[in-house]
Formats: sequence, structure tokens, C-alpha cells
Amino acid sequence: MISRLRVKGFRRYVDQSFDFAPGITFIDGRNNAGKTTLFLAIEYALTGTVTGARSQAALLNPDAKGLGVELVFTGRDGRTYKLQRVHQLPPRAKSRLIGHFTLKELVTREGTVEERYVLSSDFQDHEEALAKKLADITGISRRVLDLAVHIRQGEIASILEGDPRLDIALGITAAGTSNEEMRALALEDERAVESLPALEASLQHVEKARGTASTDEAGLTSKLDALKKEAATLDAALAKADDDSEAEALEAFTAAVDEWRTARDDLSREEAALAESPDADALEKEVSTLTAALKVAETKKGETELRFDLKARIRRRETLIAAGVTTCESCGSSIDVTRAKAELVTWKSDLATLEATAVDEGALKTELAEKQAELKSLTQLRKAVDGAKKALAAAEKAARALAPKGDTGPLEDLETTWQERHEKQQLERAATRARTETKREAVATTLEELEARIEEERSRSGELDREHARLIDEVENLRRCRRRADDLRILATAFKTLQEELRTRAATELAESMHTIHRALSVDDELSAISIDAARYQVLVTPKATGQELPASLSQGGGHRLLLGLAFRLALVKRLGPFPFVLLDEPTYGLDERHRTALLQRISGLGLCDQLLLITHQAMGDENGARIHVEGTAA
Amino acid sequence: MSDDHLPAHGPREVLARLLEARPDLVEVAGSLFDYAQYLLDDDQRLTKSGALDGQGRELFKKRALELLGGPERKDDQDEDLDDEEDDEVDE
Repeated sequence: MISRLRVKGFRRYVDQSFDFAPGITFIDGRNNAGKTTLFLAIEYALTGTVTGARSQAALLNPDAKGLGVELVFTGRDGRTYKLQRVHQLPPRAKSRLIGHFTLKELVTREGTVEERYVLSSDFQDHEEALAKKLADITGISRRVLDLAVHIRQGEIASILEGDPRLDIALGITAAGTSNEEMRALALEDERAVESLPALEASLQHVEKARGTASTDEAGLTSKLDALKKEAATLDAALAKADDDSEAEALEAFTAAVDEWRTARDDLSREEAALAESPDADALEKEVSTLTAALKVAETKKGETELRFDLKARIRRRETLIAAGVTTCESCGSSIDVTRAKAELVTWKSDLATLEATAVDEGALKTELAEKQAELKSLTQLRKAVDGAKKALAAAEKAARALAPKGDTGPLEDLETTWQERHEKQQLERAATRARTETKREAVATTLEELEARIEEERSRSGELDREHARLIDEVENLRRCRRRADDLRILATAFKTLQEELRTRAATELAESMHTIHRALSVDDELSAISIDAARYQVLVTPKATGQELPASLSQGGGHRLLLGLAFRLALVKRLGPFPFVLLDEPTYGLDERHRTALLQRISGLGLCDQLLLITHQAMGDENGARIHVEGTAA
Repeated sequence: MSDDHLPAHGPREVLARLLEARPDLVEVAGSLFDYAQYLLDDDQRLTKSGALDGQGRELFKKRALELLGGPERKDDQDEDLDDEEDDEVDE
């Protein structure tokens, strides 16, 4: 039910509001006063357009830069809404109107009316959403508005010839279209699904191949693990073959034996030197003798001087005698030559005696020094021998410490035995290593081959996995397609049945309803039957007077056709409604006074909706209902 | 439109009865019917014979597939149909 309508800048209205009551409201006024404009404003508010108006600009008041309508109404859900719609010229534009709408719910709380936004173009809501919302809360769509809610005087009777829009308004076209499109979509899905069996077979094949590949890979991996273990064992054996820790011990022992051997040679050399040296006792005796002789020589030091003096006198006397000197050079006295010669002989005899007992002290000293040196050297040699013996003992001890435990034989024998044993072991190890290496190489080759095969298997498995994933996706996709095709077929069948039911029932029920309404509004019950052709919705009537069925548009006069047309429209209201309101624009035009009065008095009694707004410019009687007089001047 | 406001012979009520065995499809069917009605409500989307035109049918199919879910179709991805109203009006 519309409770309030505000019209601004809309055709002849500058800004005017109207309040409406429930039930029937008669809107009257002179021609061109703006009665119909109120209905156009309601139509504009609900749809954004007006049938017959080329654009919103055609609805613009010549003095206004924008038009707007505010409609306060109660919907079928019992809630009150305020619908505002405007079209305005933006700044600097001359011909392009920009539209806005807002739908709010009015909620009364503790005596205050609150406005709650439902939809608004300012919030990017679209006309589609608004149209759907309005259809939801009023049951009025564009098509329904044109056929049944906004009933225009000039169009009332035209419906008797049928109207292709009725199929749409009654939902028959929608059901048919839905059926067709569901079938078309189902067909598309079914065509796509045709390849499903082949794909499922491929999937099964790939799954089987994946299973085999997995088993093969597991077997190969198991073999690989076993081979790796064998390789590890062989590597350990090789490491063991390379482990010549005894060589180090043997080398240390050989070095110790070499040191011992050097010590032994040193001792031999020292002992040989000692053996070649003079006897120590003899040397000590000689030193004693020489020391004693030297002491004696010291006691004969006066004889030595005498001997030197004798030798000097002998040399001088022999020189003088040889020279024939007969006088003394110092005193000049004559020399007795004979005597001189006799003295010379004596002197020579004494000298000979002295020299016979004379001792050579220098020689003694030299000899003693030599002997003492020899003795010292001998002592040192003995010490060296002792040292060499100690060194030899230490070297032997060190070498034996490095010898294998339990071996007590001669060191050189031990060394030889050990070296021979070690060489034998080395040969054995080399042989073992050669055998192990051969095995290891064979294992390595097998490992490489096996790894290559596993890699190949994995690559093949990867390809199979990818193919499997692709097939799973595709098969699942097609299975969903198949399920959707099934749903589409079910929906198509439902829509087809709906279409048939609607079509079958619509004509019959509309005709019955129309006849009832016609009887209620008509003064004379002149028709025995009304039927509607289900294909074209052409109305056929059977007058009681003739009993012959004929098209309503041919059998009746203008007033009667108007009444039948109105009955048809109101039958549509009953079928497509309930609506919160119905707008009747001069439904009495062309009726005689009798019929007009009857219609105005009876129409609200039909109970078709909560509110009927009825425009008339003819004189009103005492009909029950509210009245709004449109003056034709803007407020 | 909620069921409270449906007339006894309303399309949604009939669809609910027809799809009693598939209650999951009732809302889809109702929404599709409403959408078809919405599309048919615009004269510009009608052919001369009063049927829904090609673009309207494509919009309807697109909505149907959206509501039903399931795999996308190649042609669905390629199309970019303008399903929006233009509330600007040229004089």
C-alpha cells in the first residue's frame, strides 16, 4: 500500500506530496491537471522508466534540472519502505541525465522512525538488484506493472484480443525458456560426457601401469639396497687391506736396530783403537822413569855450564893456535905456545869426561810430554769404549722394546724374520685387495646400471603420475558434468511440466476469474460463459441472448468491451497478485452512468488488493472511498 | 520472493512440488525461474516473437551454470557478457 508520494520536477509538478489511505482512493481533477502523472511517477519510481516516454528527460519539468519521486509504501511482507529515485543533469551537461535510486526500510522504534538502507546506487547496487528486490516485496515487475498493476484507460480493452506479453507475465515463457536452456545445457554436458567411458578406461589402464611400475621400482630399490650393503662391505675390506699398521712398527724396529748396529760398530771401532794402543802399565812406567831422569838432570845443571865454558875456551885456543898468535892481545906479553897446547889437550880431556856423563834434559822433557799425552789418550779411549758399550746396551734395549713380544733372539735375526713375515703379509694383502677391487668394480657397475634403471622407472612413474592426475581431473570433471547433466534434465522436465501446468491452468482459471469479476462489476449479467483461448489469450464470450461464442472484441459495444477488458485485467491482478496496490487510470471512461456508478461502488468490494488508486475526471457520487483532488497547479 | 507470498498456484510452489524428490534443486529452479522472468521483463531482450534473445539466453545459461556449479566450460571463460543495467539515459 502506498502511503505517501512525493513528486519533484516531474512533468508539471515542481514539488508536491500526496498521502494515500488504504482501500480505494479516487483521484479526480480536470483534464491535464496531473492525475495520470501521479501514476507515471509511481511507475517511474518502481522501474526507472515510463512506458511511452522516450527517456527520463521527457519527464523533466521544463524549469527543473532534475526530477525525483519518493514513494513510501508497505510491501507484501508487511514492512514499510521508502523508494527514492532521481534523474539529474550533472554540472555543465545539457542533455544527459544521471540516475540514482535508494531503497530504505522504515522501522519504527520507540516512537521514532529509523531509515535503514536496503539498496542504493550510491553503494554500487544495480538496477537488477532493485528490480528483483521490488519484485520480491511487491510482486510487481515491469511486465506485471504494464499488464495488471498500472491499468491505463486507453489500453484496457485491447487485452481482449490477447497479448503476447501474457505468456511472459504468467511465467509460461520463463518456464519454457528455462526448459529449453536446461535441455541445451544438458545436451552440451552429455556431449562432453560421451568421452567419459574411454577416459575411464584410460584411467584404469594408467592405474594398472602405475601399480606395476611401483612394484618394479620397489624390487629394484630393494636390489639396490642389497648391492649398496655389499659395496659397503667390500669398501670395508679394501680399507682393511690398505691398513698396514705393522709397517710402521716394523719401520720403527728397523730404525732401532740400525741405531743398535751403529752403536755396535762404534764400540768395535773404539775397542780396536784401544787394542792398538800401548800397554797402559808400560806407559806409566816409562813416564815414571822419565820423570826420575828429569829430576837427575836438574841436579847436573853446573856440569852443563862448565861444559859450555870448556867448549868456548877450546874454540878460542884452537883459533889462536891456528892463527900463530904469540902475544897476548890484552897485556902484550908473550905466549907460551907449548903450554897453551898442553892446556888445550887437558881442556879437551875434561870436556870429554864431562860430556860422557852429561844428560839431555830437553829430550827428556819432550819424551815425557809425549808419553803423558799417550797416557791421556789411552784414558780417553777407555772412557769412549765404556760409553760405546752403554750406548750399545741402550740401543739394544730400545730395539727389543719395539720387537714383537716374545721374540728374544738376536736383533738382526728378529729384524730379518719380521721383515720376511711382513713382506709375505703385504703380498697376501695385495692379492686380497686385487680380488676385492675386482668384485667392487663389478658391484659398482651393477649399481650404476641399477640406479639408471631406477631413474628410468621413476621417470616413467612420474609420467604415469602426471598422466594419472590429468586423467583424474578430466574424469572427475566429466563425472561432475554427468551429474550436472542429470540435474539439468531433471530441471528441464520440471520446467516443462511447469510450463504445461501454467498454460493449461492459466486460460481456464483466468476465464473463470474474469467471468466472476465481470458479473460483479456489470449491471446486467448478460454473458453465460467466458473462455480464453490458451494459445493467444483471446477472450471469447457467449451472450445469453444468442448462446453463440464469439470474440469479445466483436460481440460487444465499447463500454462492454471496456468492462470485459477491465475484468480481464483484474483477473490478472488476482492471479499474479497479491499486489500492495493497483492503479486504475480512468477505468470508467466510456461507460454509461449506470455502469460507471456500479463499477465505482463495487470495485473495491472485489478484495483484489489492499489499495486501489483510481483516476477519474468525471463527477463522483457517494461512492465509499478516499478522495484526492488534483488541482493542476504545483504546490 | 519468500514462500509466504506465493499464491497457491505460483510457479515456485509448483516447482517445489515437481522437485519434491530433489529438494536441493528447488531453490536453484526458483532462482532460475525468477531470473528468466527478470530477463523477459526487459523488452530490449526479447525477439520479435516475444522470446528471449541470444544474449539473454547466454546470460541465463551463465547464471544456470553458476547456480548448479560443476566444471567450467571453455566458452564460459571467453565470454564477458554485460549483465548490468545502465542507469544513465541519453536524451
